[in-house]
Amino acid sequence: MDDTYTEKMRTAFHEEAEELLIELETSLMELEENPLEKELIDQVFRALHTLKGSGSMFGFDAIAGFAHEIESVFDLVRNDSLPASRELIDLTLSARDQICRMLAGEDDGAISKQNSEIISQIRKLAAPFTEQEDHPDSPVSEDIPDKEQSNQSKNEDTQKPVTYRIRFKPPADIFLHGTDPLLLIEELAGLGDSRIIAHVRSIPDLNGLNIETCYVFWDIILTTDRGINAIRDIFIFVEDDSEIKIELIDDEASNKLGEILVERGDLDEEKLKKVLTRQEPIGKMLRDAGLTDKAEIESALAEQTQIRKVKESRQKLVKANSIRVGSDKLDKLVDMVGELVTVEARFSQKTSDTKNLEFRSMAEEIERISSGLRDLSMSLRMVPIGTTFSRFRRLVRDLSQQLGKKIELVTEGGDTELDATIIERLVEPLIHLIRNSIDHGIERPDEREKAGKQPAGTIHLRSTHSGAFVLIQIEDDGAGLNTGQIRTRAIEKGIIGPETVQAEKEIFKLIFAPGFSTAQEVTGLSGRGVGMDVVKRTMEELGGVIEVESKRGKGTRITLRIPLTLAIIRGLLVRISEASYVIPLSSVEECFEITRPETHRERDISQTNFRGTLLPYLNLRKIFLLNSKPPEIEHMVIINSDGSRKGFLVDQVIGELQTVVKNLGMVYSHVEGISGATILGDGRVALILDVLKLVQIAAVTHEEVPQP
Amino acid sequence: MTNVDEKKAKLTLSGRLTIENAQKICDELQSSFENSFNPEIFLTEIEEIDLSFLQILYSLILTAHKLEKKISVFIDDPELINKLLVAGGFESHFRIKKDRSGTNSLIEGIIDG
Repeated sequence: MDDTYTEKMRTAFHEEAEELLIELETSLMELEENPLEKELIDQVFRALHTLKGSGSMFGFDAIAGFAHEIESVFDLVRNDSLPASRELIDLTLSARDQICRMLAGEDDGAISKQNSEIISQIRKLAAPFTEQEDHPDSPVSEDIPDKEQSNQSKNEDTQKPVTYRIRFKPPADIFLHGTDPLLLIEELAGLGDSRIIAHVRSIPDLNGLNIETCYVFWDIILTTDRGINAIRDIFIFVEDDSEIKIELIDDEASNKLGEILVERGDLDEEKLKKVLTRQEPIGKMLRDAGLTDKAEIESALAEQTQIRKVKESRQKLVKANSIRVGSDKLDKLVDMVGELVTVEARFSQKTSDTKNLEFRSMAEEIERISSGLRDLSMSLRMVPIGTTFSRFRRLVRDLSQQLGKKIELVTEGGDTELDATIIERLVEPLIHLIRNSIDHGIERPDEREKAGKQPAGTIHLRSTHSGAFVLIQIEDDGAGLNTGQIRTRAIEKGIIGPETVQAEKEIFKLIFAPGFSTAQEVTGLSGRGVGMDVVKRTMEELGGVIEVESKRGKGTRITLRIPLTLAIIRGLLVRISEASYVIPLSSVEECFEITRPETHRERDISQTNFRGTLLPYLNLRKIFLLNSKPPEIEHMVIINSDGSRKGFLVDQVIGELQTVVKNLGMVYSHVEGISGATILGDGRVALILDVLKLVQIAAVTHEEVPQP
Repeated sequence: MTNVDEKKAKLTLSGRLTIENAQKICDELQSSFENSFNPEIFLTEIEEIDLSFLQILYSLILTAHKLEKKISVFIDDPELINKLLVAGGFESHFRIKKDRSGTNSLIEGIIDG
């Protein structure tokens, strides 16, 4: 096998294993809350089972062997032989972390020792519930389990759903045995998706009725993943006296009504052929001809419908199947589509001047296709944020245990989609914010009870769409921010002067200042003042905004407002001299014309009279060192930077545009105040302004000074 | 379990309509059927129904059909009966509908042919 192929396979296993480990963690956390939930137990088992199988297949024998040990114990849980106790879940979570480390290629010696300890503890836990010969202290097997054997657990493994045609004719005296056949039918229906048809043609009128006789028989079309034995088990006590026919229906075979009836033995093939010469619905023709009764037709129709349903859902499944594509390839695709859109815009511009209708029609067609392609390629980068949310459940669980607090994490809006790159970059900031809520926000149970609250605190993690943005909120019902303490600490740290007077909202913002912390002691979790400034910086880099709301004694809510994607922005195209620039529309509040603004200060920072107040503004011509003469009438773009308004003076506002962001490349990446570039329809390059950075560079004052 | 109003040929069945009581139910129904041209059966406050009763009901409707008699079976818990019919695969043999006033629910048999 060639090395490239092997490497690709190993990479594929890594990716699959990472997903499985997230799934395993999430399922374990949920299982902890619902230890009797069969579906969750199965999910844990399946994740371990797949890790074992794939690990073994791709040569990760140590992972496969370790996963096998844990899986074996979870097989006992599946069989109701071992409870899904807190202790078992703790150990399985530790095992899951070990697999993460093994996957990351950490030191084998130390890991192996820890693995043995975990397995030994898990075996001890399982020992009272199992008759197996394994002694808890017996050496931990590193062997890869036999694949055939591993597929056979005590319970029949769930398999691909298949459809069965079941005919159940109970014995006529079944009532005398104390059995109600309806209960068996009900139990059967519980195995999957079913359609039940009772045949009643043998029921006589009242004169001939013997109340002790069962006259009814049934056809059941059942789609189940439980296997034929599960079906047989239901009839185990009546099978000797009943007529039971269980047939697997080949859902790839013919789905014609007449053929189903022939196959069931309800209709003779010759008679069918004869009837088929007439041009009427087959069911009607057969009934008219007296060849089948209503229930038989109905039963066959039910089978037809069920098979159709199975086929459709299988097709949907095939359609929903995904393939794994490297994010670098996606980035490249988005990049190339961006270029295509640019070329298309130029082409459209050229053809709009031509009188050749065919060219113009072609240009319109290309525009339609390229815009569809752009939307599609952008959507490929979008992933639900829920996968990230699930990571925080573990964080909350472990940290609250460590601090002796009771905290519940409630997540909402996990299906909200965001650009994968943004989600990746949000993980660290969200960890910091949640840690802060756990450490500083939520009080200890006794403190909460004294304050008249429930002993357990709650952290809400929500995500919602808001136009071209996603709002992520972290809200706790803890103690809330202490403005007095924040202010004192900010003065001590020299972040503000003792004379500075600030509104509550401004004081809240101080928690994002570098080196700021109000924690009384430095814990392993927080208190070092590192983190919140990182949160702010990351948000700025993402073009997002942070808002803090807090009520003393009630709790704190932090809202992150993040653009949906970094690859496309909506911007305001402006011109200064011969150059074009794009100001992200998310920052723009309004624009107005201005004739030679009367400036009150020199250098880059100026102020002008705007609606009775002095508006600080940046003369971009000066900042970008453009020496040409400004026009008589200029344009002022008012932007909102960090909650206050500033002006950007430009020659002309051209209009709004939606554009693909291009990186500046290595050479220009250090240029401050420019976050990227884009190519305009006419082929020229426009630089995208980093509004916050420009304001910082120019050190524009944060206050609008009222005009005397 | 049964309450017969012979003048109006009304029969009320309630409680457990199961095999243990099947013979009695059947006898009452037969009697009610013979004594009136248009008997009315009321199924009220039912605790349990099993297959034996569904067979009796179907047989009763079949008999009425054969004799061209009209029989009305009123039910006070159509949801319960409907659940039972669906679970037992009897949907195409019985249907539940409202009477003309739109207030009472009836169960009707669908006789093949």
